[in-house]
Amino acid sequence: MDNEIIDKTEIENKSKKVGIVSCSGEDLPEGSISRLATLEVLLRRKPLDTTTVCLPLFIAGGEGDRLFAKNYPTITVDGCEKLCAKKATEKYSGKVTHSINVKDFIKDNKKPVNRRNLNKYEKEIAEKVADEISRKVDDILKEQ
Amino acid sequence: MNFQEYIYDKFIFKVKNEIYYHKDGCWVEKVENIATIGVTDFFQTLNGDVASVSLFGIGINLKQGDPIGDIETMKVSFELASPVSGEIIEHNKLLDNSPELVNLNPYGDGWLLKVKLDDFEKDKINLMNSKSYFDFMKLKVEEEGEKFKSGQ
Amino acid sequence: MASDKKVLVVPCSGIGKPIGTVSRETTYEIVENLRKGKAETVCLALLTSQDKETIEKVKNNYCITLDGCARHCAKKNTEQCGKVPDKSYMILKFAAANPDKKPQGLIDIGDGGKALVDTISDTIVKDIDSLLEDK
Repeated sequence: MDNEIIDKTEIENKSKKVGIVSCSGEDLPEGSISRLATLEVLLRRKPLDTTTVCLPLFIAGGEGDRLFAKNYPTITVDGCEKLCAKKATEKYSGKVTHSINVKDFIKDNKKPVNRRNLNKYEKEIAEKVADEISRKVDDILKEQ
Repeated sequence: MNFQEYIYDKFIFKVKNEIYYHKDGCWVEKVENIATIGVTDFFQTLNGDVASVSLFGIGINLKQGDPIGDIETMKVSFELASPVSGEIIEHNKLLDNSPELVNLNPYGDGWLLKVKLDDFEKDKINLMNSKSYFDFMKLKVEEEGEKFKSGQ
Repeated sequence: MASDKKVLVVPCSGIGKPIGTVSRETTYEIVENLRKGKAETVCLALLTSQDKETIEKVKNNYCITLDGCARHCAKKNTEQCGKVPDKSYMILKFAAANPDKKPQGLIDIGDGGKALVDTISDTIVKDIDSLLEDK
């Protein structure tokens, strides 16, 4: 199948957005916190300045999905030391501009325990992670 | 098969060449006196995951602009307008169990129905060729831009 | 031994659609409540990043994938790791069959979404029981 691509340069004019890729790790509470913090920024705090792609679309999706980190300066948000969002983005898509790990926001070894129906403490962690994502979004946009 | 692609944000919108387009979201591919009809890539992206497709019956005669059925997605339910005049002669049976084909392959396996044409020359007055539709689509993409964001 | 096997329920990450959140919530309902001890989940992101330990775990247990939409992220990422899921589901199909149970939002799926979670869970637990009995 031949694909004739026209107007590909349109994307250059529209990349004044920051990409956020969350691990969304289903098996860990930190994954749920990562997801919640990312959604908080995407939907409420920076809806016009940010965009996202589901991480597994780097494998399941098409070329457009894998172009994500090439098209946007990208912040990855991970829940644990495995750094899935960072590693998979670097492997399949492109350079990561900034990497955030939820673990860095957990103080005094008070581990979150809920993967759903997050409690007050867990939501506070998500808020702090969202604060950091938002700060980084602003920093990136200032540099552009 | 030849396509034009327009990239906006993280989306790639495809426009298939050498077919016709109606402003309300359908494409038409004419082979002899039979038109195959589907929805455009832009239309399916805008409206989201298709949950079900209900079309008017075989044998029904349509005028251009008449409703031909409903598509229900996870976001909206809407009525489709026929891009041509003629008699419905076939539905895409694949959509009974796999309506998601409309999203996955809107110009291929996701076609909706076939119509035996009455007067395509007259219908063409209100249709766009692929180049005109591409320009029209770009404007629509810009207008609807924020609707493509997460959760909307 | 077959009796040591568990069923891994692998949801998609669907961060862009309410049906993605339904996929996640359904998984938790099953592994934390309805079939606790018999079913578990794994992070789909670990399959995407090709984590060896997770790939082994998926290969050595039964696997049900639960995708939100037709992009089939959970199914395709699982297959990419060399495991064909024992069962694959798409939330969209359940949503189509239950139009009165529509998820409302990405963060809070609302009462409609919760009702859909219950409906889907009822189907999947039957598969889990079937996979675990006399294998």
